[in-house]
Amino acid sequence: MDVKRIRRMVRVERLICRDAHEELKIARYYRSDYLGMMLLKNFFLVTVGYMILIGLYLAEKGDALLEGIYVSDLAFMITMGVGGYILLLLLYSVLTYMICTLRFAKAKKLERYLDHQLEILQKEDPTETGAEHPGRGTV
Amino acid sequence: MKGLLGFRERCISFSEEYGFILVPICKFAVAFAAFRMINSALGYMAQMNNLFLVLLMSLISAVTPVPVMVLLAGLLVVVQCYAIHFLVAVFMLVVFFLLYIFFLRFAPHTGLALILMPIACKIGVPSVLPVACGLLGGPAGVIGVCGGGVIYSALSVVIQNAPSLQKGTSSGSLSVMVQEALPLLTLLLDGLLKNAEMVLMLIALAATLLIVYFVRRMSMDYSWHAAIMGGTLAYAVLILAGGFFMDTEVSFLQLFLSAAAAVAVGEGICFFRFQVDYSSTQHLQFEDDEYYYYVKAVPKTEWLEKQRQKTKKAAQKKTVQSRPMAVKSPGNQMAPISPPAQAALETHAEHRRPAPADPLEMPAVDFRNQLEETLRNIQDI
Repeated sequence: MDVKRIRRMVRVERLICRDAHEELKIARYYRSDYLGMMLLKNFFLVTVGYMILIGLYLAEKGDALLEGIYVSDLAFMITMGVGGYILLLLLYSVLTYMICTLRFAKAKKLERYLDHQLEILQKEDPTETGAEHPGRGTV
Repeated sequence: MKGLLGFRERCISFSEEYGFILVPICKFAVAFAAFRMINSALGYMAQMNNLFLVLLMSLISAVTPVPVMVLLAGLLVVVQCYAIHFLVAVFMLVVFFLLYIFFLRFAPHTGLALILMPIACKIGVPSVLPVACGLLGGPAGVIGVCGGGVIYSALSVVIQNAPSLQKGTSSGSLSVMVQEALPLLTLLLDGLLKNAEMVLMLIALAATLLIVYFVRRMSMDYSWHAAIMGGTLAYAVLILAGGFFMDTEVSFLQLFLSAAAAVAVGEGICFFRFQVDYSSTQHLQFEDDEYYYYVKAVPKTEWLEKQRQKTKKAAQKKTVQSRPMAVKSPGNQMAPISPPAQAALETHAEHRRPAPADPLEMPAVDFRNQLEETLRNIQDI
């Protein structure tokens, strides 16, 4: 029994099934597809989150706002609200882009490492070298 | 010291051998403690206070990933808050949702910190978790630790205002409900957002974790110990200074106990995770085609002990091999050796026998070759 080969096989299996499961799922995507998907998810989440924040703000300060409000104040408030939303969306989009780029790079590096380990295992496999096995006949 | 190192080796090999059963047991214990704490702190819904239900949820948490445990804890909190008032449950759901949208989705592996932080705050040792996360994790742990702090503060606000919140009813027309909802929401939001103690705690937790993380990654000697002491000191100073400037109440006894617990836990983690011998540090310089390397090699204590034992055994082998063979007579009896010959043999043996190896002496190891081999293996990857 080749102890090194067994250790390599156990390490690869542990990575595939447990430790690197999430990273391997990410590595299956193309880079642009993965980033596009995460930015789209970010857009929806930030929009819903911002609407909740606006709702909470209005719930707390709604009475005071409605008492002394004018049309021009309303237009200013809407502009501020939209501007705040765009700023928040930009900020979180940049953050998501940076973090997902790093995650994707890490996932690809792990995938290359696993491929390299599998290549080594394939080269070391005695059945691939054409060796005879008792009871099996010649390959 | 050797006894402690032996104990450490036994613990590590035990955890490696029985990890498949130890990890679920630990997850069960953490989940059970979290669910029991939630039920004892809130406990407004009698059906959820059932021990069998708590055991079942803990069992599910033990065999599933950590995010499931976080989800179950969140659901339990929301259900318990529903028993106070419908809007309190909505408020907690909104807090969890906002935490996820703006913070937690960037650090998905910090679920355990999210569960443990409220437990640590309840026990009165909040500084333990940022020190532990700084030693074992990365800067992303700030999200989990501070998220846990926010959840604990939100729960405290709900518990403090529960009697006044329970007076309102959730039945009636929509306008009545809206009229009741606004002061309720105002009460909860003011309690959370205008909470100076919560802001101070979050700043102290984040600063402690970042200080511990960046100091322990430095290449100076005893960096882990410096990180633990520095982080704990920073937490204490920030809480005291914040308490002075923000006019919040600070319990000196609780602060001292929290700091002592943080140091104890931190040193325990350091003992099991990072055991090196700084007295045997080697500084190397070499180059290859691409870079010039300045390397500081600090040997791990267990590796050093194994090398010393190898050197001792090798020295003992040489001693045994260098002893002259006794001449035997045909009757299988040792032939008597004349005194001058005996003296000559002993003198000759002394010259050939090497000096016994000093167990404390650093064994001769080619660090440079080992390091080059390690770098080649990394480049192959």
